Amino acid sequence: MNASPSTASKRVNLLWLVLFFAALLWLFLFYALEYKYHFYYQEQTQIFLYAPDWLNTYFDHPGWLALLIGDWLTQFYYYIGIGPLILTLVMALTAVATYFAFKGYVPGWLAITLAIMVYLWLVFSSFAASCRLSTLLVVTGWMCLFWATKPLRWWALLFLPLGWWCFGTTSWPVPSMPQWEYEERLAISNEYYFGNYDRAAQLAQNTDRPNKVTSFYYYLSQAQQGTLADSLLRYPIKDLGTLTKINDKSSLPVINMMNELYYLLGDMTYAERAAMMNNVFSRSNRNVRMIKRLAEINLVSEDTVAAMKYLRVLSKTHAYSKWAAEHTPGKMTPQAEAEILAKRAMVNKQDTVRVGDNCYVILDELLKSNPNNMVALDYMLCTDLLLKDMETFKRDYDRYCMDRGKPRLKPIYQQALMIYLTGTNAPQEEWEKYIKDFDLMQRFMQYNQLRGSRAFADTYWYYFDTH
Amino acid sequence: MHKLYKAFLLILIFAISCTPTPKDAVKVEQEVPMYPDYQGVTVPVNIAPLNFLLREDCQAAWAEISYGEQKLVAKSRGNELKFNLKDWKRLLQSASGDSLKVTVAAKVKGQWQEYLPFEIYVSPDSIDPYLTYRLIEPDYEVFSRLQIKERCVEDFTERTICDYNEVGNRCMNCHTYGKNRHDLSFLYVRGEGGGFILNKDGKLRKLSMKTEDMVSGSVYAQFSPDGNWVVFSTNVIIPAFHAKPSKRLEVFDSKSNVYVANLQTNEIMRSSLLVDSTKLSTFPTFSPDGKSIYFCMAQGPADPRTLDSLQYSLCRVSFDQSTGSIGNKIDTIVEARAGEKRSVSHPRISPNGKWLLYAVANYGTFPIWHPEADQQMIDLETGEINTLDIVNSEKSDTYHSWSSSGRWFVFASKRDDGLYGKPYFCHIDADGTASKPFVLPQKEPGFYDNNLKSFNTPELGTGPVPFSPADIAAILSTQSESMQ
Repeated sequence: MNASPSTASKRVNLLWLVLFFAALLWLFLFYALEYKYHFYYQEQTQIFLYAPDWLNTYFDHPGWLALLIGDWLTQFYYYIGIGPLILTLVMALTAVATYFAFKGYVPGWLAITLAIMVYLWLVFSSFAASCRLSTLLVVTGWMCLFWATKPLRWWALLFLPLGWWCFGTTSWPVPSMPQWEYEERLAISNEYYFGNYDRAAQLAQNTDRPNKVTSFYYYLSQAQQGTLADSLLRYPIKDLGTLTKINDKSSLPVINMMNELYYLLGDMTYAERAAMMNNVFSRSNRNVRMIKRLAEINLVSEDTVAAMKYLRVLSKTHAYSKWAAEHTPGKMTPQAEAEILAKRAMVNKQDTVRVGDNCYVILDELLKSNPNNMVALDYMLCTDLLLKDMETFKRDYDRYCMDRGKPRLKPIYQQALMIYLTGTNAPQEEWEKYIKDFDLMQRFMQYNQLRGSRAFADTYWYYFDTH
Repeated sequence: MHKLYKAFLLILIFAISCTPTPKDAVKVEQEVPMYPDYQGVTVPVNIAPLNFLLREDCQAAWAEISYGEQKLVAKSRGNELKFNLKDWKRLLQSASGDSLKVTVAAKVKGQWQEYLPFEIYVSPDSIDPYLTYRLIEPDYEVFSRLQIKERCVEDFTERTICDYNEVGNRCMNCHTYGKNRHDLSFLYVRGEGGGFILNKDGKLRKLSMKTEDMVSGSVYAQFSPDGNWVVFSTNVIIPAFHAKPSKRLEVFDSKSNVYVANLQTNEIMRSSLLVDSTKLSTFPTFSPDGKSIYFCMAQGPADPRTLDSLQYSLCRVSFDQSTGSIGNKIDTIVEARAGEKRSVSHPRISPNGKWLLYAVANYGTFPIWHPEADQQMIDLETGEINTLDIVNSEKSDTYHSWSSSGRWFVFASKRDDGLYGKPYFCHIDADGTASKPFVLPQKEPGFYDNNLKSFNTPELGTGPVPFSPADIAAILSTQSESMQ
């Protein structure tokens, strides 16, 4: 028995509806499971304040409504799953608005095709890290406006200036393929930022595309846990970031990396510099992650008035107001206070002026300020080792370990010292003074019989000879 | 329709009845926890309303400003208080030359409390109505999206006069008036295709204020009184960083010289006294009669390891406006002395030629990042130095400039947070006595709390400048006039 034309039409409509919701579900799951760190990036590289003067700044731009709604919604990307949900709903609304905007003017199948095309356009555009939600809302806004002004009459032209004012015409989405490598970098960077150091190190280790960024975060995560020296030789690319310099040509991720490094080391001047730079180069000079970092830096530096500046800003945000309250001087939670005090013990107390960001000088000053800064010590010694500068390594080891009566008996340092002692024909008492790991000593003798053998690939001797 | 009218009336009555008004307020022996702090300040009769907020966790706030029988009330259900512009103007006109009494109350935990009242003195001396400033993040090493703005201080209107969108996101330097004239000013757009943008009589010109023998283009510059000359410094600026986080940034010149440019003939005037590789000369400015150039000078070259001994003295050399000749003798007006807080920068002379304002810091040439940097004022007739204690703060106070009347000056102060400069105004009476300064009022009391830009080199002007960002973009696309 054949279905009547109306029943067939209903079935077709139902099929389209099922396909539509399936596409949305797929998109949501894709964003939530495979592309979630892009959402954190979007959220962190803006700031939205609930303050009249802040909202007023949106009216300076054509397309203010798209910008305002986009930034307002983007702040909720902070919460797990909300970003993917918002973006999926925006895609759904845009597709629906496109369909109804064209339906009636063109055949139904063409309206659906146009809706699919616009949907795909926005989906592919959303893959670019540079694509803001507000840019997608430009399309959504115009489609909704076309839909709302149906049927088209001459007076609908009057809505064009309204559309230009509310949604603008200059910022259209540009399609892009998924940026997997960037997503991976963001994943590692964000897991580190969230304090999931093991997860960050694991992500860096599991990547198929090890590079300077993954290497940097791998080591940073290890240093955070006091295991930098133990893991120095375990990563295929060895970039600690200590030789990286930042300037106005540096990319945001690199500036961000240096911000994390200097903050971990305890150099608040350079951490603040990198945070400021990151802020300056973010969209509209706004970056909530850096505002939070600037608050932390100034709390550590005991610059209360400067810290309050940033805490007041954060108190007007949706996602960070609680954090700001918990870190307000005089009202700090015990945990927040403990974190700040621990970091404060590490800060640079030297009174020098530096031209340029020579990390070696910074590490040296940090250790002069606080010789117990093990993170700085490991970064310094490991940098020496990667540069194979054995003279400097020995000098630094003597200054900050031996002279203080606190030898740092990490296997890699012992291995490096053996190279130095051998190279300088050191007398027996020198060997006894420095080398405490006798099993390692035995292994060194074996290595000298088999120099360059891969059986010793886990040792600094092998790295020293073969890299 | 009748129902609608009724509903509207009901809403109106409800709104009025809900407006907070202090009831049974308890008087507390506490100063008003207000921000910005307008307690005891002197304001010009033509200033915009001094809106403020209370740093108090309050459910409602109320303020009454009275002068005789006249009263102006502001109230809110939060902590922000804003005054009606028209009523404010009327009140200030009435109170000109006298003091306003201000009473503030806040509802805290359900109880109204009234703070100690205070006064605001309304000076009959008007201030120039326009203020220009550059908005920049407080990190002068890098920049992005700079703007130069012009604000009317009599109300809250603000417009952009140079915009990053129009100049390819290039660096732009501060806007400087000649004798506070809106038809005589300049600004600098850096980078390729940039130049010294001169606004003279409403016409824009682009000059290349650099010749081959100069170490850089012009950096700090000022007009002569007749507007035909510009005295400027060329500086090789080195950014550096203090290890101590509290000291942050340091900026010093490795080389700096002073020149004078004739804006009519495009000729550069040089003097071996001011272009000397063994000396660092900077921050030049003309005296109001045009017969002298004041500038700052230190023994060069600068060494980052011994920056704390780099001290600039305030010096003077004669100048002939008719010929452009520079004198052959340098007088030292304020001598730098090592170990004292006496490194001088930014000399600016009052229009009557009596006072010279300058900034002093422990050392160096970039007081904006020196928390100890203060302003001082020297009486050029007697040599007496006024340390302006009522004006200065614990943080950097610098970049001052005079109003056309000489009764006001504006300066950039970081007193609130140590990072973000804000324009403060200070009244100077005929005897040179300064009053407590106040910050540029904003429409929204929370503006400064939320603002993430520094107000850089504020300058007062008598009228709106006759150009727009599009005009700047247009002149930038032309060829620079070269100097000889």
